[in-house]
Amino acid sequence: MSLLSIRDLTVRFGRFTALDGVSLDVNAGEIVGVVGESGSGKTMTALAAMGLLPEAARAKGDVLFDGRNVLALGEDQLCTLRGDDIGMVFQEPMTALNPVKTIGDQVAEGIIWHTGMSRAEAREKAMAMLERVGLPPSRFPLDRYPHELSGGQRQRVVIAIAAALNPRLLIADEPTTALDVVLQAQILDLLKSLVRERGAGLMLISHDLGVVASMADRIVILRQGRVVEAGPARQVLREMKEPYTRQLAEASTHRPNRTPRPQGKPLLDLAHVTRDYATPRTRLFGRRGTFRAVDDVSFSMCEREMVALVGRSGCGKSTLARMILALDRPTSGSIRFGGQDISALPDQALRQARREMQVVFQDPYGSFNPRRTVEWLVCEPLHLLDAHPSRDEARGLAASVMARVGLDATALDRYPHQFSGGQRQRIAIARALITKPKLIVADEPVSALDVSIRAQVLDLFAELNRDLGLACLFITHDLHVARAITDRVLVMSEGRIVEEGPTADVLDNPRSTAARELVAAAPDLAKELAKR
Amino acid sequence: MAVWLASRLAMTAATVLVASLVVFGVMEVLPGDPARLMLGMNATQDAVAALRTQMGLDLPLPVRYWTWITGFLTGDLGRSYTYGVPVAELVAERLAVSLPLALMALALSTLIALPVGLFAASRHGKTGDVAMMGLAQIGVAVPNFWFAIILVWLLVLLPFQAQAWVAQGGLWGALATVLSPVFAFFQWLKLPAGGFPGWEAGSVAALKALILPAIALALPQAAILSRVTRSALLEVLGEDYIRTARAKGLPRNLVIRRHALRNALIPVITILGLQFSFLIAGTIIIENVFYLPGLGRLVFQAITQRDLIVVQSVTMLLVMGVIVVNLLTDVLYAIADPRLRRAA
Repeated sequence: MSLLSIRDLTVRFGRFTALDGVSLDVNAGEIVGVVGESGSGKTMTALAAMGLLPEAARAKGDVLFDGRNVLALGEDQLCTLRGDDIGMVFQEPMTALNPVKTIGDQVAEGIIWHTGMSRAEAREKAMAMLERVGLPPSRFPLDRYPHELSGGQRQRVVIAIAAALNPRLLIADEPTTALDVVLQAQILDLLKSLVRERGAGLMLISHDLGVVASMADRIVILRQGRVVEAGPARQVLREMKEPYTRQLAEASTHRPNRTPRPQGKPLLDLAHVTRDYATPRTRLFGRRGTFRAVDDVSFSMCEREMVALVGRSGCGKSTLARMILALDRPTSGSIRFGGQDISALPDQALRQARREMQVVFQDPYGSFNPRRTVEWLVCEPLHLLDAHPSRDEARGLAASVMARVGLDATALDRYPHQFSGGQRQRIAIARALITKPKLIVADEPVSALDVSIRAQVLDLFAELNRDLGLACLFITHDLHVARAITDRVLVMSEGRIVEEGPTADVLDNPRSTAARELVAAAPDLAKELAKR
Repeated sequence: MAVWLASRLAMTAATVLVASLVVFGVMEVLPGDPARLMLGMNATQDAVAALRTQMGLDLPLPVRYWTWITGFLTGDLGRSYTYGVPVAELVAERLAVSLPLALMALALSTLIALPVGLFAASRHGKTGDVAMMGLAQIGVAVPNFWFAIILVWLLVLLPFQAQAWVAQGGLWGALATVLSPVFAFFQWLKLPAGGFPGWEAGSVAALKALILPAIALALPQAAILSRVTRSALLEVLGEDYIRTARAKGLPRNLVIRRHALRNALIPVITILGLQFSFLIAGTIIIENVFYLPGLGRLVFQAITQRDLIVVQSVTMLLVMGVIVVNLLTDVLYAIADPRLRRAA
């Protein structure tokens, strides 16, 4: 009998059907990958297994854990199950821990609750567990608070909480989506070794077929609340019987069709750019320390060039991007854009530079004012023009950039919440295009998007480069994106650029440690498929 | 933490200095010459001038500021023009009424608001929540002096009237008979409808005199605070770490107590700190309604009688009180939230 057996599970919210007859099994000692895009019902499946469905949900079918129907259990019985027999790891490590409690207390809490151990014993056990997940108490004492840890370290704490009592089933819902590729590989390794050494089952939920391919014994593909395909990982990945599975695989390895263009005049030139931040005082009359976020960075870009800036989180990529966009000034060094040193110009003199370079951010949800129409949002950069267009002219311009990104002019009268993530990212690109820029700085522009949408947006960038001669600086930790769309790559580590060269060369034969680490950690579906 | 506290203390001292300059400056530009007021309209120019010299009013501005502020900081608040006694004495006497009143009101409003907010949040969208928040809506809308009048009527006047109704019989009589144990209890309490016997009359009598004003002050505050508590809790209950706690197997009420409450306290502390200044403003009205010899009434009378030295000193004291409460609020924040303990 399987450890977890979900049979014909249907979950409805009013008239909306989140899950429609889902069946899947997780056996002891088995890793089952559940793959799907947003809205496919992955998270609902996980919550149903924990008996944590939202109150408004109406569930039908069976969720059998060890023969007991989770959907029929009372709250008290569920409480003895959760945390003891089933542990759960969540997507967002930055918010999954209580900010006002120490990590020791948070790990020990579940132990005390389920076993009735004394606080001292539980802390002892918590210490051992934290050590096991890679947070040795000598360096990470129990009285640390979550804000004193990085994202990867926090995710280790969440795993320690979930695994503290040797649960028989571990559910990990996108456990690495918010982490950079190197951390992702470490966390996946940790999860794998934890369940292997204890013979537990693992339900690994991800939108990324590449992540699941390297881990899972069996794969379940979900789409719009239904199981599209399920089977042994090897078989699913090799045969790809279902067109949707093939579509997912193709989308995640998608490369836009593009030929490198002859490069134009120099556009952007950074010379010895350094940015220091003051760190808080630790003693009353002590000196403030400095933290060097960007350290002596020099590089240049030409018109029409597609360049990737890759590196792990915290390596200084975003700080560098802010300085290029003149949103922050370097402590020393110069940034020349179109021949002008923009790091030395006063704010009022930056209009031309701001017009000629625009930005697209990662989060298509957070980067729009929700109370404005798309027309207002897309037209906003027009104030940078010297001649202010009339309302009609502005609308005409907006309609033309919207057409350029593949959206209808009728979209202009709607509000951001009425669009999907991919459409919003198109709107963000339209907003960037309206001043006819020469350079777009894109900070992780596709990492919040589903793989199929990601492929479309990458195609769009390739098209803009081809048709408009737009240069793009892609900031990303995702090497697929770098490989798919850029000609040249800069590898950044601890504030410095440690390697630079044609994208294919660097990614195939990385020389620096940082680049090698990134390449080794990146989940690679193509390689995984070849291996099988 | 020490660095943080030192920087907060330095900022507090600077705020007090700026506030003292503003209070002094405002009193300077107000019309009305205290010497003329004290001597009356018929006094000669010479007499007024002599008094001005005696009071030090003809000294240059910086000197007078310096004399006032050094006196203030050493406890010499000057001498009241109208009462003819040291202001410090007057204030100390009045504080003995106002401070317990404000503290009682603050404690009452917190004691009412936290459980009500907790109750409403844990029954979000259900009848209990709707009923509590409906009551809170009324509490926010109704001014405290109206509550004061209703309280006096309900607890002091109505029990007497009820006896008459019982004697009359009829529908009202029947109702009054049913409720008579309640009214008897109210009568047994013997709460005064106003006035203050002084602490020398015994602490029970003094506290009895303060309880109705404190309730009247506390109710509107409690209404606001319970709404804040409820919405803060509801917001926290939607956080990811609440799901983490539930996934540990903790039952819902334990999750609220251990994980939600302390995180929800931060906005509650903010409002509590802000309410202190409203409480002080509220005491001026409530002390007048209940005829209590408190600081509020002192200021009110001093303003109408242009006893500027009293107004100036009491204002400064109240300003300092508010600043100190703000400092306490900041310290409470840091205790509640470890992320705020870093140096500013």
